[in-house]
Amino acid sequence: MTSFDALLQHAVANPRFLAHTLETFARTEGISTEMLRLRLGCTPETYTALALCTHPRPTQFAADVDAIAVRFALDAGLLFQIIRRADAIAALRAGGDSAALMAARDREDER
Amino acid sequence: MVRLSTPAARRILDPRSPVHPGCPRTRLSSLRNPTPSPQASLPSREEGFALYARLRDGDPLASSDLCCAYFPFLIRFLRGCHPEADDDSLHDAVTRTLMDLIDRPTIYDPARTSLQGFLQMAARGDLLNALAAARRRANHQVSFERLTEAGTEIDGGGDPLAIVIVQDDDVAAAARVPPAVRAGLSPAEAAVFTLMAEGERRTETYAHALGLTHLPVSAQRREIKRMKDRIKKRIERAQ
Repeated sequence: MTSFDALLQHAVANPRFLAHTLETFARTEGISTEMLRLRLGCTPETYTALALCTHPRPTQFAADVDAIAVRFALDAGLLFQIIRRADAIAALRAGGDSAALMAARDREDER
Repeated sequence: MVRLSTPAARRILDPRSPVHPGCPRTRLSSLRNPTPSPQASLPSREEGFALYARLRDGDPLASSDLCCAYFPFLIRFLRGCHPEADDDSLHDAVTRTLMDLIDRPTIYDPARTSLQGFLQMAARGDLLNALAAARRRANHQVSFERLTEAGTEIDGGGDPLAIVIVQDDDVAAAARVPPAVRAGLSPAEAAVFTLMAEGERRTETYAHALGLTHLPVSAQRREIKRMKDRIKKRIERAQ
C-alpha cells in the first residue's frame, strides 16, 4: 500500500498546488476538507489527484479550470468559484489586510 | 454541525444551487473522462517525455499525473534497492524527488536520459543522502555517549559542545571531500558518490541506482566506471 500522505503534506504547504488552495478555502470557511471533497463530488482518490494539480495559470485561468474539471468530472463552475475565492483570501492575507477581509464579510452578511 | 462562515461559502457549497454567477461553465459532469487514480500505470519513455513537456509548460494537470504515475513505482523501486530503509525514509525521498522536479523542471534534461531513469537516479540519490545523514547522526550520538560515559577528557575541557564539534570535524575529515564538490554533483553522481563512500563494489547496485539495468553488464560497467572516474577527477582537482 502506497500512501500519498507525505506528498499531500508538501502540496498543502506549497501555494503552487491546488491542495494549498483547497485547504485555504476550507479553513477560511470553517469546513473540513472532507466536507469540501464531498461537495465537489470526489472520491478520496480523485481528491488526492486533484489536490496534486498545480494552480491554474493566470494567463489561461478559465481554460485550465475547465481542463481540470473535465479530467476529474467536476463542476467547473464550483471549482472556479472555490479557487477564485481562495485566491482572494490569499491576496488579502498577503497584503496583511485582515480588516478588509472582515469588512468584505460584513458586507456579504448584510445582503 | 459545521457552520459555514460566510454567505458566499454557503452559496458555493450548497448542492441545491446549480448556478454559479460569473463562472465559465456550470456543469460538466456529462463529460466524464476516465479519472486517473493514484495507482495509474507507468508511462512509456515517450509518454514520460510528453508528461515532462507539459510540466515544463505549466500544465496544472501535469504535476498530478507525474505524482500519480511515478510515486508508487519509485517507492517500489527504492524498497527493492534498499529493503533496510524504513517507509518514512522511502516516502520522504520520493516526495522530495517529485517536488524538486515540479518546482524546478529544468533540473531534468530529456536529451540525457528518460524521465523514469532520471527519477530513479534522483530518488536513489535522495534516499542515500538521507540514509547517510541518519548514519552520521547515529554515529555522533554513539560517539558522544561513549565519550561521556567514559568521562574522556578532550580539548575543550569536557564541554559537551566541544565534543560534538570534534565529532563533526572527524566526520568531515573522513569524508575528505570539499562541500563544494558535493554540492556540484548531479543526482546520479551523488548516488554513485554515496555508494563509493559506503564501499559498495557490486555493479548491480550501481546499475540500479543509475537506471542502467536494461543495458548489458559490460555496458553497465563502462558507464559506472566513467562516472566514478569523473567524480574522482573532480575530487582531485578540488583538493
